Amino acid sequence: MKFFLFNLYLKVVLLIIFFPLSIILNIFNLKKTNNNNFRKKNYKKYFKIFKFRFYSPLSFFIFIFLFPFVRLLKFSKLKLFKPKRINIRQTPKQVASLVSYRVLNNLRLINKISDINKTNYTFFLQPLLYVAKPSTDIDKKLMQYISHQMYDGFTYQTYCKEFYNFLKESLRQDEELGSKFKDFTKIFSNTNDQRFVDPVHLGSIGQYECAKLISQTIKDNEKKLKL
Amino acid sequence: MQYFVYLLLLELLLRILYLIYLNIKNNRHFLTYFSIKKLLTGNISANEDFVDTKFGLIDENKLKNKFRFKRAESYLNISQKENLEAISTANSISQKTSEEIFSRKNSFEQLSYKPFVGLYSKSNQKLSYANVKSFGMQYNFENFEKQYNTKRVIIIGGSAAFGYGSSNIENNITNSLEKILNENQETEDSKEEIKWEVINLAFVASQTLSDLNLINMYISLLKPNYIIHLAGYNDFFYFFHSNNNMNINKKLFQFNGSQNIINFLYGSHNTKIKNFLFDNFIILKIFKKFLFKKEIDHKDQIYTVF
Repeated sequence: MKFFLFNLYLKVVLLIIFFPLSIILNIFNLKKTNNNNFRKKNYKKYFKIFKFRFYSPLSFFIFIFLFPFVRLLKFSKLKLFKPKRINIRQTPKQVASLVSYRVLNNLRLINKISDINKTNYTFFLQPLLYVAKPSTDIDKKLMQYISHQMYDGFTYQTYCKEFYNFLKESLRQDEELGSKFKDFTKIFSNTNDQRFVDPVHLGSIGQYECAKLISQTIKDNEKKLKL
Repeated sequence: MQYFVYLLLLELLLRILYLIYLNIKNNRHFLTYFSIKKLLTGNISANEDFVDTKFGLIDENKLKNKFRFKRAESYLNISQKENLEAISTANSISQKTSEEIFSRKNSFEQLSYKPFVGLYSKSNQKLSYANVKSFGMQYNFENFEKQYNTKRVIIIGGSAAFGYGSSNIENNITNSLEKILNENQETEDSKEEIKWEVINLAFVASQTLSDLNLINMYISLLKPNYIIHLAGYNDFFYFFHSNNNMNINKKLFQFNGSQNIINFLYGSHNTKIKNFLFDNFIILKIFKKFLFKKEIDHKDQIYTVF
Protein backbone atom coordinates (compact mmCIF):
# COMPACT_ATOMS: atom_id res chain seq x y z
CA MET A 1 0.00 0.00 0.00
CA LYS A 2 2.83 2.34 0.96
CA PHE A 3 4.67 1.70 -2.30
CA PHE A 4 1.49 2.09 -4.27
CA LEU A 5 0.91 5.52 -2.74
CA PHE A 6 4.48 6.56 -3.47
CA ASN A 7 4.10 5.41 -7.00
CA LEU A 8 0.81 7.25 -7.42
CA TYR A 9 2.21 10.41 -5.91
CA LEU A 10 5.22 10.28 -8.22
CA LYS A 11 3.02 9.86 -11.26
CA VAL A 12 0.75 12.74 -10.24
CA VAL A 13 3.69 15.04 -9.55
CA LEU A 14 5.33 14.04 -12.81
CA LEU A 15 2.22 14.67 -14.89
CA ILE A 16 0.87 17.78 -13.22
CA ILE A 17 4.01 19.61 -12.14
CA PHE A 18 7.23 18.43 -13.71
CA PHE A 19 5.98 17.86 -17.21
CA PRO A 20 4.35 21.35 -17.62
CA LEU A 21 7.31 22.90 -15.82
CA SER A 22 9.83 21.36 -18.18
CA ILE A 23 7.82 22.59 -21.17
CA ILE A 24 7.71 26.11 -19.75
CA LEU A 25 11.44 26.06 -18.99
CA ASN A 26 12.25 24.85 -22.47
CA ILE A 27 10.05 27.51 -24.05
CA PHE A 28 11.64 30.36 -22.13
CA ASN A 29 15.11 28.82 -22.18
CA LEU A 30 15.46 29.20 -18.47
CA LYS A 31 17.36 26.02 -18.10
CA LYS A 32 21.12 26.36 -18.30
CA THR A 33 22.75 23.94 -20.71
CA ASN A 34 26.42 24.66 -20.12
CA ASN A 35 27.66 21.26 -19.06
CA ASN A 36 31.06 21.23 -20.68
CA ASN A 37 33.65 19.16 -18.89
CA PHE A 38 36.54 21.26 -20.14
CA ARG A 39 35.33 24.42 -18.53
CA LYS A 40 36.36 25.32 -15.09
CA LYS A 41 33.87 24.49 -12.42
CA ASN A 42 31.81 27.41 -11.41
CA TYR A 43 31.47 27.09 -7.66
CA LYS A 44 28.00 28.36 -7.13
CA LYS A 45 26.65 29.76 -3.99
CA TYR A 46 24.08 27.73 -2.25
CA PHE A 47 21.71 28.02 0.65
CA LYS A 48 21.34 25.26 3.16
CA ILE A 49 18.22 23.95 4.83
CA PHE A 50 19.07 21.33 7.41
CA LYS A 51 21.53 19.04 5.61
CA PHE A 52 20.32 19.76 2.09
CA ARG A 53 22.13 22.13 -0.22
CA PHE A 54 20.13 24.10 -2.77
CA TYR A 55 21.93 25.74 -5.65
CA SER A 56 18.90 27.38 -7.18
CA PRO A 57 15.26 28.12 -6.36
CA LEU A 58 14.35 25.58 -9.02
CA SER A 59 16.18 22.77 -7.24
CA PHE A 60 14.45 23.78 -4.03
CA PHE A 61 11.11 23.69 -5.78
CA ILE A 62 11.83 20.20 -7.16
CA PHE A 63 13.02 19.04 -3.78
CA ILE A 64 9.74 20.00 -2.12
CA PHE A 65 7.83 17.72 -4.41
CA LEU A 66 10.30 14.89 -4.16
CA PHE A 67 10.75 15.24 -0.42
CA PRO A 68 8.68 12.13 0.44
CA PHE A 69 11.21 10.06 -1.51
CA VAL A 70 14.11 11.00 0.76
CA ARG A 71 12.95 8.24 3.03
CA LEU A 72 13.31 5.79 0.19
CA LEU A 73 17.06 6.36 0.06
CA LYS A 74 17.26 4.09 3.07
CA PHE A 75 15.78 1.28 1.04
CA SER A 76 17.75 1.98 -2.09
CA LYS A 77 19.19 -1.52 -2.06
CA LEU A 78 15.77 -3.06 -2.32
CA LYS A 79 15.48 -1.60 -5.80
CA LEU A 80 11.88 -0.47 -5.59
CA PHE A 81 11.80 0.82 -9.10
CA LYS A 82 13.50 -2.14 -10.65
CA PRO A 83 11.72 -3.36 -13.77
CA LYS A 84 9.60 -6.43 -13.33
CA ARG A 85 11.25 -9.75 -14.09
CA ILE A 86 10.20 -10.94 -17.46
CA ASN A 87 10.33 -14.60 -18.18
CA ILE A 88 12.10 -14.69 -21.47
CA ARG A 89 11.48 -18.07 -22.94
CA GLN A 90 13.52 -19.49 -25.70
CA THR A 91 12.47 -22.42 -27.78
CA PRO A 92 14.94 -25.27 -28.35
CA LYS A 93 15.51 -24.05 -31.90
CA GLN A 94 16.38 -20.55 -30.71
CA VAL A 95 18.81 -21.89 -28.10
CA ALA A 96 20.32 -24.23 -30.67
CA SER A 97 20.88 -21.50 -33.24
CA LEU A 98 22.36 -19.07 -30.70
CA VAL A 99 24.82 -21.53 -29.18
CA SER A 100 25.72 -23.12 -32.52
CA TYR A 101 26.51 -19.70 -33.96
CA ARG A 102 28.87 -19.03 -31.07
CA VAL A 103 30.51 -22.45 -31.22
CA LEU A 104 30.94 -22.29 -34.99
CA ASN A 105 32.66 -18.93 -34.82
CA ASN A 106 35.08 -20.18 -32.19
CA LEU A 107 35.81 -23.34 -34.16
CA ARG A 108 36.46 -21.32 -37.30
CA LEU A 109 38.98 -19.22 -35.42
CA ILE A 110 40.72 -22.28 -33.96
CA ASN A 111 40.85 -23.71 -37.45
CA LYS A 112 42.35 -20.48 -38.80
CA ILE A 113 45.02 -20.44 -36.10
CA SER A 114 45.90 -24.08 -36.75
CA ASP A 115 46.08 -23.41 -40.50
CA ILE A 116 48.47 -20.52 -39.97
CA ASN A 117 50.65 -22.74 -37.76
CA LYS A 118 50.45 -25.64 -40.26
CA THR A 119 48.64 -27.93 -37.88
CA ASN A 120 45.90 -30.41 -38.63
CA TYR A 121 42.75 -29.56 -36.77
CA THR A 122 39.85 -31.94 -36.20
CA PHE A 123 36.73 -31.30 -34.21
CA PHE A 124 35.04 -34.27 -32.57
CA LEU A 125 31.53 -33.71 -31.30
CA GLN A 126 31.60 -35.39 -27.92
CA PRO A 127 29.41 -38.43 -27.21
CA LEU A 128 26.35 -37.66 -25.15
CA LEU A 129 23.71 -39.87 -23.62
CA TYR A 130 21.10 -37.12 -23.97
CA VAL A 131 21.39 -37.40 -27.72
CA ALA A 132 22.13 -41.08 -28.28
CA LYS A 133 19.69 -43.86 -27.54
CA PRO A 134 20.47 -45.52 -24.19
CA SER A 135 21.93 -48.92 -24.96
CA THR A 136 22.14 -50.49 -21.50
CA ASP A 137 19.81 -50.80 -18.52
CA ILE A 138 22.05 -48.50 -16.47
CA ASP A 139 21.92 -45.90 -19.24
CA LYS A 140 18.14 -46.08 -19.11
CA LYS A 141 18.21 -45.60 -15.35
CA LEU A 142 20.52 -42.60 -15.73
CA MET A 143 18.17 -41.02 -18.23
CA GLN A 144 14.87 -41.97 -16.61
CA TYR A 145 14.44 -38.90 -14.42
CA ILE A 146 16.21 -36.23 -16.42
CA SER A 147 14.47 -37.09 -19.68
CA HIS A 148 11.13 -36.10 -18.14
CA GLN A 149 12.32 -32.82 -16.65
CA MET A 150 10.69 -29.86 -18.33
CA TYR A 151 12.20 -26.45 -19.04
CA ASP A 152 9.71 -23.95 -20.43
CA GLY A 153 7.55 -26.67 -21.85
CA PHE A 154 10.36 -28.71 -23.40
CA THR A 155 12.46 -31.52 -22.01
CA TYR A 156 16.17 -31.02 -21.46
CA GLN A 157 16.77 -33.80 -23.94
CA THR A 158 14.84 -31.92 -26.63
CA TYR A 159 17.06 -28.87 -26.13
CA CYS A 160 20.19 -31.02 -26.33
CA LYS A 161 19.05 -32.92 -29.40
CA GLU A 162 18.04 -29.75 -31.19
CA PHE A 163 21.40 -28.12 -30.43
CA TYR A 164 23.40 -31.15 -31.54
CA ASN A 165 21.41 -31.55 -34.76
CA PHE A 166 21.74 -27.86 -35.55
CA LEU A 167 25.46 -27.85 -34.84
CA LYS A 168 26.07 -31.02 -36.85
CA GLU A 169 24.16 -29.69 -39.82
CA SER A 170 25.93 -26.34 -39.78
CA LEU A 171 29.33 -28.00 -39.37
CA ARG A 172 28.67 -30.30 -42.33
CA GLN A 173 27.62 -27.40 -44.49
CA ASP A 174 30.61 -25.26 -43.49
CA GLU A 175 33.22 -25.01 -46.22
CA GLU A 176 36.24 -24.95 -43.95
CA LEU A 177 35.09 -27.14 -41.08
CA GLY A 178 33.01 -29.65 -43.02
CA SER A 179 35.97 -31.92 -43.74
CA LYS A 180 37.44 -31.43 -40.27
CA PHE A 181 34.41 -32.53 -38.34
CA LYS A 182 33.81 -36.00 -36.91
CA ASP A 183 30.57 -36.97 -35.25
CA PHE A 184 31.19 -38.98 -32.08
CA THR A 185 27.70 -38.67 -30.66
CA LYS A 186 26.53 -42.16 -31.45
CA ILE A 187 29.76 -44.15 -31.35
CA PHE A 188 28.50 -46.32 -28.50
CA SER A 189 25.01 -46.98 -29.83
CA ASN A 190 25.98 -50.40 -31.18
CA THR A 191 27.60 -51.68 -27.99
CA ASN A 192 25.63 -53.33 -25.23
CA ASP A 193 28.25 -52.57 -22.59
CA GLN A 194 28.28 -49.65 -20.20
CA ARG A 195 30.42 -46.74 -21.39
CA PHE A 196 28.97 -43.71 -19.60
CA VAL A 197 29.45 -42.91 -15.91
CA ASP A 198 26.85 -40.15 -16.21
CA PRO A 199 25.04 -38.72 -19.26
CA VAL A 200 28.13 -36.75 -20.32
CA HIS A 201 31.28 -38.48 -19.10
CA LEU A 202 32.88 -41.73 -20.16
CA GLY A 203 34.54 -44.42 -18.12
CA SER A 204 38.03 -45.68 -18.94
CA ILE A 205 36.73 -48.23 -21.50
CA GLY A 206 34.79 -45.55 -23.33
CA GLN A 207 37.78 -43.22 -23.24
CA TYR A 208 40.01 -45.94 -24.66
CA GLU A 209 37.55 -46.51 -27.51
CA CYS A 210 37.41 -42.79 -28.15
CA ALA A 211 41.21 -42.65 -28.24
CA LYS A 212 41.21 -45.53 -30.71
CA LEU A 213 38.88 -43.70 -33.08
CA ILE A 214 40.89 -40.49 -32.74
CA SER A 215 44.10 -42.37 -33.50
CA GLN A 216 42.42 -43.81 -36.59
CA THR A 217 41.69 -40.28 -37.82
CA ILE A 218 45.29 -39.26 -37.17
CA LYS A 219 46.58 -42.31 -39.01
CA ASP A 220 44.35 -41.57 -42.00
CA ASN A 221 45.69 -38.05 -42.06
CA GLU A 222 49.25 -39.33 -41.90
CA LYS A 223 48.58 -41.60 -44.87
CA LYS A 224 47.21 -38.66 -46.84
CA LEU A 225 50.31 -36.63 -46.01
CA LYS A 226 52.61 -39.42 -47.22
CA LEU A 227 50.77 -39.63 -50.51
CA MET B 1 25.69 -6.27 25.78
CA GLN B 2 23.24 -8.67 27.34
CA TYR B 3 21.47 -9.22 24.01
CA PHE B 4 24.77 -9.74 22.28
CA VAL B 5 25.64 -12.58 24.66
CA TYR B 6 22.20 -14.10 24.08
CA LEU B 7 22.77 -13.96 20.35
CA LEU B 8 26.15 -15.65 20.66
CA LEU B 9 24.65 -18.39 22.81
CA LEU B 10 21.87 -18.89 20.30
CA GLU B 11 24.45 -19.09 17.50
CA LEU B 12 26.40 -21.72 19.42
CA LEU B 13 23.27 -23.73 20.11
CA LEU B 14 22.24 -23.66 16.45
CA ARG B 15 25.74 -24.73 15.44
CA ILE B 16 25.68 -27.67 17.85
CA LEU B 17 22.27 -28.80 16.58
CA TYR B 18 23.35 -28.49 12.97
CA LEU B 19 26.58 -30.42 13.51
CA ILE B 20 24.78 -33.17 15.45
CA TYR B 21 22.39 -33.51 12.51
CA LEU B 22 25.30 -33.66 10.04
CA ASN B 23 27.23 -36.21 12.06
CA ILE B 24 24.19 -38.46 12.46
CA LYS B 25 23.49 -38.17 8.75
CA ASN B 26 27.07 -39.01 7.73
CA ASN B 27 27.76 -41.53 10.53
CA ARG B 28 30.67 -39.52 11.87
CA HIS B 29 32.00 -39.23 15.35
CA PHE B 30 30.99 -35.95 16.89
CA LEU B 31 34.06 -35.22 19.02
CA THR B 32 36.65 -34.92 16.29
CA TYR B 33 39.11 -32.08 15.83
CA PHE B 34 37.38 -31.09 12.64
CA SER B 35 33.93 -31.01 14.25
CA ILE B 36 35.10 -28.91 17.18
CA LYS B 37 36.98 -26.53 14.90
CA LYS B 38 33.92 -26.17 12.73
CA LEU B 39 31.72 -25.68 15.75
CA LEU B 40 33.71 -22.71 16.93
CA THR B 41 35.04 -21.03 13.83
CA GLY B 42 34.18 -22.76 10.58
CA ASN B 43 31.70 -21.60 8.03
CA ILE B 44 28.53 -23.61 7.84
CA SER B 45 27.58 -24.83 4.43
CA ALA B 46 23.96 -25.60 3.64
CA ASN B 47 24.89 -28.63 1.60
CA GLU B 48 27.72 -30.59 3.10
CA ASP B 49 27.82 -33.15 0.31
CA PHE B 50 29.45 -30.75 -2.11
CA VAL B 51 32.67 -28.82 -2.01
CA ASP B 52 31.72 -25.28 -2.84
CA THR B 53 33.60 -23.01 -5.14
CA LYS B 54 35.71 -20.92 -2.82
CA PHE B 55 38.88 -18.93 -3.02
CA GLY B 56 41.83 -19.69 -0.85
CA LEU B 57 43.16 -22.97 0.41
CA ILE B 58 40.55 -25.66 0.83
CA ASP B 59 40.53 -27.34 4.20
CA GLU B 60 41.57 -30.93 3.48
CA ASN B 61 39.14 -32.15 6.11
CA LYS B 62 36.34 -30.86 3.91
CA LEU B 63 37.20 -33.48 1.33
CA LYS B 64 37.01 -36.36 3.80
CA ASN B 65 34.48 -39.05 2.87
CA LYS B 66 33.21 -37.06 -0.07
CA PHE B 67 32.27 -38.94 -3.19
CA ARG B 68 33.20 -37.23 -6.46
CA PHE B 69 30.07 -38.32 -8.30
CA LYS B 70 27.65 -37.53 -5.47
CA ARG B 71 26.14 -34.64 -7.43
CA ALA B 72 24.90 -37.05 -10.10
CA GLU B 73 22.69 -38.79 -7.55
CA SER B 74 20.63 -35.67 -6.97
CA TYR B 75 20.28 -34.33 -10.51
CA LEU B 76 19.70 -37.75 -12.04
CA ASN B 77 17.55 -38.90 -9.11
CA ILE B 78 19.37 -42.21 -8.77
CA SER B 79 20.41 -44.14 -5.70
CA GLN B 80 24.01 -44.41 -4.53
CA LYS B 81 24.01 -48.05 -5.58
CA GLU B 82 22.87 -47.24 -9.10
CA ASN B 83 25.45 -44.49 -9.35
CA LEU B 84 28.23 -46.83 -8.23
CA GLU B 85 26.99 -49.49 -10.62
CA ALA B 86 27.29 -47.11 -13.57
CA ILE B 87 30.79 -45.98 -12.57
CA SER B 88 32.11 -49.45 -11.82
CA THR B 89 30.75 -51.10 -15.00
CA ALA B 90 31.98 -48.25 -17.19
CA ASN B 91 35.45 -48.70 -15.70
CA SER B 92 35.24 -52.52 -15.30
CA ILE B 93 36.14 -52.42 -11.62
CA SER B 94 34.26 -53.44 -8.50
CA GLN B 95 31.84 -51.06 -6.83
CA LYS B 96 33.94 -51.00 -3.69
CA THR B 97 37.07 -50.03 -5.61
CA SER B 98 35.27 -47.29 -7.52
CA GLU B 99 33.88 -45.89 -4.26
CA GLU B 100 37.33 -45.99 -2.73
CA ILE B 101 39.02 -44.33 -5.75
CA PHE B 102 36.51 -41.51 -6.13
CA SER B 103 36.32 -40.78 -2.41
CA ARG B 104 40.00 -39.88 -2.16
CA LYS B 105 41.11 -36.31 -1.74
CA ASN B 106 42.81 -36.36 -5.14
CA SER B 107 39.59 -37.12 -7.00
CA PHE B 108 38.67 -33.43 -6.70
CA GLU B 109 40.28 -31.04 -9.15
CA GLN B 110 42.05 -27.93 -8.00
CA LEU B 111 41.47 -25.00 -10.27
CA SER B 112 43.01 -21.57 -10.56
CA TYR B 113 41.83 -18.54 -12.46
CA LYS B 114 43.53 -17.94 -15.76
CA PRO B 115 42.62 -14.76 -17.64
CA PHE B 116 40.82 -15.31 -20.97
CA VAL B 117 40.38 -18.99 -20.09
CA GLY B 118 38.46 -19.20 -16.82
CA LEU B 119 39.00 -21.67 -14.02
CA TYR B 120 41.86 -23.71 -15.41
CA SER B 121 43.54 -26.79 -13.93
CA LYS B 122 46.11 -25.95 -11.29
CA SER B 123 49.59 -27.18 -12.20
CA ASN B 124 51.33 -30.12 -10.55
CA GLN B 125 48.46 -32.12 -9.15
CA LYS B 126 48.16 -35.87 -9.38
CA LEU B 127 44.49 -36.66 -9.58
CA SER B 128 43.11 -40.17 -9.42
CA TYR B 129 42.33 -40.03 -13.14
CA ALA B 130 44.77 -37.47 -14.55
CA ASN B 131 48.33 -36.40 -13.94
CA VAL B 132 48.38 -32.64 -14.35
CA LYS B 133 51.87 -31.19 -14.72
CA SER B 134 53.21 -27.69 -15.30
CA PHE B 135 50.98 -25.09 -17.02
CA GLY B 136 48.00 -27.28 -16.08
CA MET B 137 48.75 -29.70 -18.92
CA GLN B 138 48.88 -33.48 -19.06
CA TYR B 139 51.93 -34.89 -20.83
CA ASN B 140 54.53 -37.63 -20.51
CA PHE B 141 57.71 -36.02 -21.84
CA GLU B 142 60.41 -34.09 -20.06
CA ASN B 143 61.52 -31.51 -22.56
CA PHE B 144 59.11 -28.95 -23.95
CA GLU B 145 61.33 -28.50 -26.98
CA LYS B 146 60.05 -30.69 -29.76
CA GLN B 147 62.53 -33.31 -30.96
CA TYR B 148 63.05 -33.86 -34.69
CA ASN B 149 61.58 -37.39 -34.75
CA THR B 150 58.52 -36.61 -32.65
CA LYS B 151 55.02 -35.66 -33.57
CA ARG B 152 52.75 -33.88 -31.20
CA VAL B 153 49.03 -34.11 -30.64
CA ILE B 154 47.22 -31.53 -28.58
CA ILE B 155 43.88 -32.40 -27.02
CA ILE B 156 41.52 -29.57 -26.13
CA GLY B 157 38.03 -29.66 -24.75
CA GLY B 158 36.06 -30.08 -21.57
CA SER B 159 35.92 -32.68 -18.85
CA ALA B 160 35.31 -35.54 -21.30
CA ALA B 161 38.60 -34.69 -23.01
CA PHE B 162 40.33 -34.08 -19.68
CA GLY B 163 39.73 -37.69 -18.67
CA TYR B 164 37.04 -37.20 -16.06
CA GLY B 165 35.29 -40.49 -15.38
CA SER B 166 38.31 -42.74 -15.80
CA SER B 167 39.28 -44.78 -12.76
CA ASN B 168 43.02 -44.51 -13.34
CA ILE B 169 45.62 -42.35 -15.04
CA GLU B 170 46.93 -45.08 -17.36
CA ASN B 171 43.57 -45.61 -19.07
CA ASN B 172 42.45 -42.03 -19.50
CA ILE B 173 42.08 -40.56 -22.96
CA THR B 174 45.52 -38.86 -22.99
CA ASN B 175 47.57 -41.92 -22.11
CA SER B 176 45.40 -44.27 -24.15
CA LEU B 177 45.85 -42.15 -27.27
CA GLU B 178 49.59 -41.87 -26.77
CA LYS B 179 49.86 -45.61 -26.21
CA ILE B 180 47.81 -46.48 -29.30
CA LEU B 181 49.70 -44.04 -31.52
CA ASN B 182 53.09 -45.31 -30.40
CA GLU B 183 52.06 -48.97 -30.64
CA ASN B 184 50.55 -49.01 -34.10
CA GLN B 185 53.33 -47.47 -36.08
CA GLU B 186 53.88 -48.50 -39.62
CA THR B 187 57.62 -48.81 -39.37
CA GLU B 188 58.03 -50.71 -42.60
CA ASP B 189 57.57 -47.71 -44.85
CA SER B 190 59.22 -45.12 -42.68
CA LYS B 191 62.94 -45.02 -42.16
CA GLU B 192 62.78 -43.73 -38.65
CA GLU B 193 60.40 -44.47 -35.86
CA ILE B 194 58.22 -41.53 -34.98
CA LYS B 195 57.61 -40.79 -31.35
CA TRP B 196 54.14 -39.54 -30.59
CA GLU B 197 53.61 -37.11 -27.74
CA VAL B 198 50.13 -36.31 -26.55
CA ILE B 199 49.55 -33.10 -24.60
CA ASN B 200 46.21 -32.58 -22.99
CA LEU B 201 45.18 -28.95 -22.53
CA ALA B 202 41.59 -29.80 -21.72
CA PHE B 203 40.13 -28.78 -18.41
CA VAL B 204 36.90 -29.32 -16.56
CA ALA B 205 33.99 -27.12 -17.73
CA SER B 206 35.91 -25.66 -20.65
CA GLN B 207 34.03 -23.95 -23.44
CA THR B 208 35.08 -23.40 -27.04
CA LEU B 209 36.04 -19.78 -26.36
CA SER B 210 38.47 -20.93 -23.65
CA ASP B 211 39.80 -23.58 -26.02
CA LEU B 212 40.40 -20.93 -28.65
CA ASN B 213 42.32 -18.75 -26.22
CA LEU B 214 44.34 -21.72 -24.96
CA ILE B 215 45.34 -22.68 -28.47
CA ASN B 216 46.29 -19.10 -29.19
CA MET B 217 48.50 -19.08 -26.08
CA TYR B 218 50.30 -22.39 -26.47
CA ILE B 219 50.43 -23.27 -30.17
CA SER B 220 53.75 -21.53 -30.82
CA LEU B 221 55.32 -23.06 -27.71
CA LEU B 222 54.17 -26.64 -28.26
CA LYS B 223 54.27 -26.75 -32.07
CA PRO B 224 51.70 -29.53 -32.48
CA ASN B 225 51.10 -31.57 -35.63
CA TYR B 226 47.52 -32.31 -34.71
CA ILE B 227 44.89 -30.54 -32.68
CA ILE B 228 42.14 -32.80 -31.42
CA HIS B 229 39.11 -30.92 -30.18
CA LEU B 230 36.62 -33.06 -28.26
CA ALA B 231 33.87 -30.73 -27.10
CA GLY B 232 30.40 -29.37 -27.78
CA TYR B 233 28.29 -29.89 -24.69
CA ASN B 234 29.70 -27.33 -22.27
CA ASP B 235 28.84 -24.34 -24.45
CA PHE B 236 25.25 -25.46 -24.49
CA PHE B 237 25.24 -26.33 -20.78
CA TYR B 238 26.49 -22.94 -19.59
CA PHE B 239 24.35 -20.97 -22.00
CA PHE B 240 21.25 -22.91 -21.11
CA HIS B 241 21.65 -22.94 -17.34
CA SER B 242 22.86 -19.37 -16.92
CA ASN B 243 20.03 -18.04 -19.05
CA ASN B 244 17.50 -20.26 -17.43
CA ASN B 245 18.36 -19.09 -13.95
CA MET B 246 18.74 -15.42 -14.72
CA ASN B 247 15.94 -14.70 -17.07
CA ILE B 248 16.50 -11.02 -17.42
CA ASN B 249 20.26 -10.78 -16.96
CA LYS B 250 21.15 -12.61 -20.10
CA LYS B 251 24.86 -13.00 -20.25
CA LEU B 252 26.72 -13.66 -23.42
CA PHE B 253 29.55 -15.64 -21.93
CA GLN B 254 29.61 -17.24 -18.55
CA PHE B 255 32.12 -19.82 -17.43
CA ASN B 256 32.26 -21.97 -14.36
CA GLY B 257 32.55 -19.80 -11.25
CA SER B 258 32.64 -16.58 -13.27
CA GLN B 259 30.26 -14.82 -10.90
CA ASN B 260 32.49 -15.70 -7.93
CA ILE B 261 35.54 -14.36 -9.74
CA ILE B 262 33.75 -11.15 -10.71
CA ASN B 263 32.65 -10.68 -7.11
CA PHE B 264 36.19 -11.35 -5.90
CA LEU B 265 37.81 -8.98 -8.37
CA TYR B 266 35.27 -6.17 -8.48
CA GLY B 267 33.11 -6.71 -5.39
CA SER B 268 33.03 -3.93 -2.81
CA HIS B 269 34.40 -4.45 0.70
CA ASN B 270 30.88 -4.20 2.06
CA THR B 271 29.73 -7.10 -0.09
CA LYS B 272 32.74 -9.18 0.94
CA ILE B 273 32.10 -8.49 4.63
CA LYS B 274 28.40 -9.22 4.16
CA ASN B 275 29.16 -12.52 2.42
CA PHE B 276 31.65 -13.46 5.13
CA LEU B 277 29.07 -12.83 7.84
CA PHE B 278 26.38 -14.75 6.01
CA ASP B 279 28.78 -17.66 5.49
CA ASN B 280 29.90 -17.85 9.08
CA PHE B 281 26.84 -17.17 11.23
CA ILE B 282 23.78 -19.34 11.23
CA ILE B 283 21.54 -16.62 12.67
CA LEU B 284 22.41 -14.33 9.79
CA LYS B 285 21.91 -17.20 7.39
CA ILE B 286 18.37 -17.62 8.70
CA PHE B 287 17.79 -13.85 8.42
CA LYS B 288 19.08 -13.95 4.89
CA LYS B 289 16.74 -16.76 4.00
CA PHE B 290 13.68 -14.81 5.13
CA LEU B 291 14.65 -11.27 4.28
CA PHE B 292 16.56 -11.48 1.04
CA LYS B 293 15.64 -12.89 -2.27
CA LYS B 294 17.33 -16.15 -3.09
CA GLU B 295 20.65 -15.53 -4.77
CA ILE B 296 21.43 -17.69 -7.72
CA ASP B 297 24.59 -19.59 -7.08
CA HIS B 298 26.22 -21.66 -9.74
CA LYS B 299 27.00 -24.91 -8.09
CA ASP B 300 26.26 -27.06 -11.04
CA GLN B 301 29.53 -28.89 -10.74
CA ILE B 302 31.87 -29.61 -7.90
CA TYR B 303 35.21 -27.89 -7.79
CA THR B 304 37.86 -26.99 -5.34
CA VAL B 305 39.38 -23.68 -6.21
CA PHE B 306 42.75 -22.28 -5.31
